[in-house]
Amino acid sequence: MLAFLLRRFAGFVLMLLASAAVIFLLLDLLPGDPARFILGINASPDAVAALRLQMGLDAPALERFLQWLGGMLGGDFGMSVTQRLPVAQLIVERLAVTLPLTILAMLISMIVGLPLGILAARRRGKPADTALMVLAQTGVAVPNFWFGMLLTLVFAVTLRWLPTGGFVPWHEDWIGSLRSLVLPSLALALPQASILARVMRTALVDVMGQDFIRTARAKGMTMDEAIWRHGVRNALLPVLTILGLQFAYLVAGTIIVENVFFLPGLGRLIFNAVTERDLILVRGATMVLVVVVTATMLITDLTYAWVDPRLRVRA
Amino acid sequence: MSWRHNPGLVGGLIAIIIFAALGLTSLWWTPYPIQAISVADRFQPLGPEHWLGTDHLGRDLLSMVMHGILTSLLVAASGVVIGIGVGVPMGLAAVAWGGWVEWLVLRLSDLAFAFPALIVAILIATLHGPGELNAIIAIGIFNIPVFARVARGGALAIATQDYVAAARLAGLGNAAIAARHLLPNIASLIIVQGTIQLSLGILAEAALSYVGIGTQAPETSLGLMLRDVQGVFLIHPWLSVLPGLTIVFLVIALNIAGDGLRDAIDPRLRRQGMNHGAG
Amino acid sequence: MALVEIENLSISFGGRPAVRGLSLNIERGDRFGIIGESGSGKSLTALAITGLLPETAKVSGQVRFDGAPLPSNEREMARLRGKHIGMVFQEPMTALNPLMTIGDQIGEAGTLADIATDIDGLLQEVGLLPPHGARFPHELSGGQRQRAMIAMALASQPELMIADEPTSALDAITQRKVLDLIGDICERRRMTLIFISHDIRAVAALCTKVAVMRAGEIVEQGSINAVLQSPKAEYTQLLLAASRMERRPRSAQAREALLTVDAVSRDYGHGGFWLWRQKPVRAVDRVSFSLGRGESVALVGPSGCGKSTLARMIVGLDSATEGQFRLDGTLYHGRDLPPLLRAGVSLVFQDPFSSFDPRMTVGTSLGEPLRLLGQMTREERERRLVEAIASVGLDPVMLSRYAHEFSGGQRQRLAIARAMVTKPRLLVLDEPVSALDVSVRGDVLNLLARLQEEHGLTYLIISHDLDMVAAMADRVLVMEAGRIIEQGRPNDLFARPQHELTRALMAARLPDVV
Repeated sequence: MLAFLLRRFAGFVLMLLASAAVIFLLLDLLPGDPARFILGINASPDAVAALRLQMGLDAPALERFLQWLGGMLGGDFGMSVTQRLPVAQLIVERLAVTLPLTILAMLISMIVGLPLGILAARRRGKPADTALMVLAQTGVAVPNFWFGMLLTLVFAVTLRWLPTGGFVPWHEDWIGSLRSLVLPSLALALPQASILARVMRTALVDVMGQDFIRTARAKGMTMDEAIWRHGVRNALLPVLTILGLQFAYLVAGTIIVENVFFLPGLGRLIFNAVTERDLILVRGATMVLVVVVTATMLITDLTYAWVDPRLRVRA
Repeated sequence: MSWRHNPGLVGGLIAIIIFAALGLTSLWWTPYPIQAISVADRFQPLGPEHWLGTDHLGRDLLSMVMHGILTSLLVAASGVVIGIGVGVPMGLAAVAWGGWVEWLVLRLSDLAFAFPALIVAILIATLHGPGELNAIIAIGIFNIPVFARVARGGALAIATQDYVAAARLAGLGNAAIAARHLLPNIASLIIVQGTIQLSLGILAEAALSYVGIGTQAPETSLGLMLRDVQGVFLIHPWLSVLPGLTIVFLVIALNIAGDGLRDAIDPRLRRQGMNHGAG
Repeated sequence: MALVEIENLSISFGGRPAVRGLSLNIERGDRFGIIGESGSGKSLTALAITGLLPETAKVSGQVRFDGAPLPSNEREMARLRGKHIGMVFQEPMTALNPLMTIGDQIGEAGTLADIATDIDGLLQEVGLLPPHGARFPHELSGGQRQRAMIAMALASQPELMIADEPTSALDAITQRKVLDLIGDICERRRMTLIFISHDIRAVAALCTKVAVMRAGEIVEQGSINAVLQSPKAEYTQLLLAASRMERRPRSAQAREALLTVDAVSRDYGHGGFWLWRQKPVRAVDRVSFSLGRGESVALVGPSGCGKSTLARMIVGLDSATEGQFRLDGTLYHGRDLPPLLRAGVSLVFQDPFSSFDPRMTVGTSLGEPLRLLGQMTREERERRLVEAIASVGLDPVMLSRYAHEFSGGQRQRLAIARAMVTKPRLLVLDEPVSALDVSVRGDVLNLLARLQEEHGLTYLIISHDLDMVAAMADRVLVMEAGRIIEQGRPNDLFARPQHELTRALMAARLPDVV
């Protein structure tokens, strides 16, 4: 077990190193002279030289890479060129919106998607199943940001129940903060819930055809009892993998949906940085996203091993 | 395989053909040129003049939707081509050679999984500015590990079959086995995954264009149309409903066709009902 | 009154009948065997008795348990099963919930029947130990899993046990032990047994009554002695004939060696990075023997003893870690077997269903090994294919068809044709008939014997079926844990087994039917 944990963690660290190298290669080495790249062709040589000094660009590439890594370990992501603030501080501020939104959306999609998937599997081939799957088929096809626009139209503009956008900081009025996250999280959750319902249904239908369900029925259970006591837990194994992937997609989706609702999250920060060619900020923000995605995969793997005794032993 | 037994596949395919035809037509002909801005004609309702109305710049919506469909399909399809072209050989090589090749393929696809399409698009957009090509590369890179895993998973199951061992006995090398035995037997899996990635690609293109790092004016795409109307859709909902619905229908058509295809191909599903029939 | 009465039972799937007009009475205390090949409807009959047929099945006729028709209410039917019927299935790995301990799964069966379960007692009754209850299914061996399945079936103290091919996934020795266990338990608990099998000798050893099924119908039924001693139906006679293997008369003379195996070992490293690398497992351990030209040698041993690994190295699919082979004077280690010599060695696989690429015509598959012989004209190639397929008694027009159009027996003939197409001198046969229905096994073995005669072939037969080995082999090598522990001529070896494993294998043999 310990060997397994160590191996997974070593893999995680290696993956982060490789990702950091890719980001560094793209944003530090490919532009040639990052300082000139940031400032544009019309910048004065003095300004470029000053920025080069500030960014420490005269050091060899490997040294800069290691410095960047070392800085991040100590919480120093560098200074944003355009905002003149520490990147770490900017990201942490924005994560206070992005992270709760992602988690809220994840929870909603699980609470809605998983039970509906189970219901559809149990009613396989019956009208309820067909109706649910038509719904899910539609839900999967809806772009989350467009669904956000529709939700604003209905609930914010027509019914006036919730704000059209913007964000009240948590420390001022947390109920207000939550209210401004309701529509965005619903917009994010719809497609995810549809995917989850479909995956859950497929996994459970698969498990229902397996021998141990027949054994459970032979022991004296009805199909429903067998599904509840033996099927669902086994079916959750493949769903777990999807949940991990979904969290990664949700983080990306959040960044997009923030645009619809004018939320001051990571998304707006990044897209501004892209247009303003703020390499340092983009570098830090993408690295944070990659860490979140990779960590999610690690957690998924560990949970899987924890739930499935077969993996526990092989490790 | 009877077409009549698979209404999903038939319906989905017909819808896709109609969409593709609309898109392709826009190459030669659209009711109005898509860049024709005419402030006098803005916010025209649906009518004989402009079948689907006009937007806030007076552009003809039907023309834009036609061209947008083409862009969406092209970007998504190019992404799938990149994904299949790189991912499938990777997956097959992992199985046929095994050992360190497999290790490398798995790590590479792990690495690619750590970069969702959006992050890749952000990185490229930072370097080269936004554009269609940007979206294609981002979606393509995103597709590579997906196809690599599907190809590897399918090929792993095939590789344990005795006929692969028989081919090795017959002196076939790894590459020949991958081409003669593995690839033909996983082709159906790849096609089914291809339709799934195509529909995901359309959604991804829309999202990237919507946040401004995908397709740029004067080109148009369904996602860009939604971005353009961001400021006015609360008053003129139709401007956002039309491109949004087009995306939804396009994706549904692809998904239904993909599901139908899978049912038609997957013998496990075809045999369902006879599962316990053995003996 | 009979415990189970089946009256005019018919089951069909989408209009295709699977069981037709079946009537059966099973009395209390009977040990009732149902015999048939795959697809004969024997398992469906058992599922019909327990109300476990898939939803897509259309059923007519009546099944009565203990005098009362089976309840149509799902919950009542489930409780009836739980209280009165215990079931044991073929594949104990998939039939147990992988996420639950054995003890919990046994306890659950008792709880469902409202019986306080003595889990440790049950485990001991089936020959397991109390600590096994805390394990998960994957932590047990195949035989132990099947014992756990039996314990689970017993937890509700049922009147009827239904065992559906309970031993066909197990190796010979375990198979016999599990059969004996089922017999003992039925005796001790005075339990009625329905035993479903394709193996006429297992049924003969265990049952008092028998029904023979074919294509959804019962062709013959009665007491086991009556049916086996004077079978009336032609099909029963066929099955009985197939279960008896005739020893083929063969001349025993000293022969010049074709293949020499010289102290060959094979280690498998078990995954992991260099830091976590585990100790390698030795699958084959310094094995030496030789095959004479025209000789037929059998390699027997329990599953996992290394016999398949050895075969894979001989044909060049895998390489030895240590030691070497010598074929016709040429040294090799496995995969380095040169193409021209490869053409002289062929392998026939166990499973005829996976040995042909479903997307290739039979002709293309059969022609694949010809590349070992270098460039060849179209006519020459064609001639070789026709010759090969004709030599196994099939029609050359079949070359343009696909493998799925053929039955198991025909496919195995085609596999033999593929092995013969390069005119090899050594054929390695990996369980050549064990995946085939009993009734076609004899034909395939006859074909192999004829080919050996005609072409002077040398055979290395991998098998666990001692009767087949006794019929086919001049010499037997017994393998255990990677080593050859005993060898000799079949008659001598089986009459006076020296080694413990050989004795166990002999003891596990089911008695001959008549």
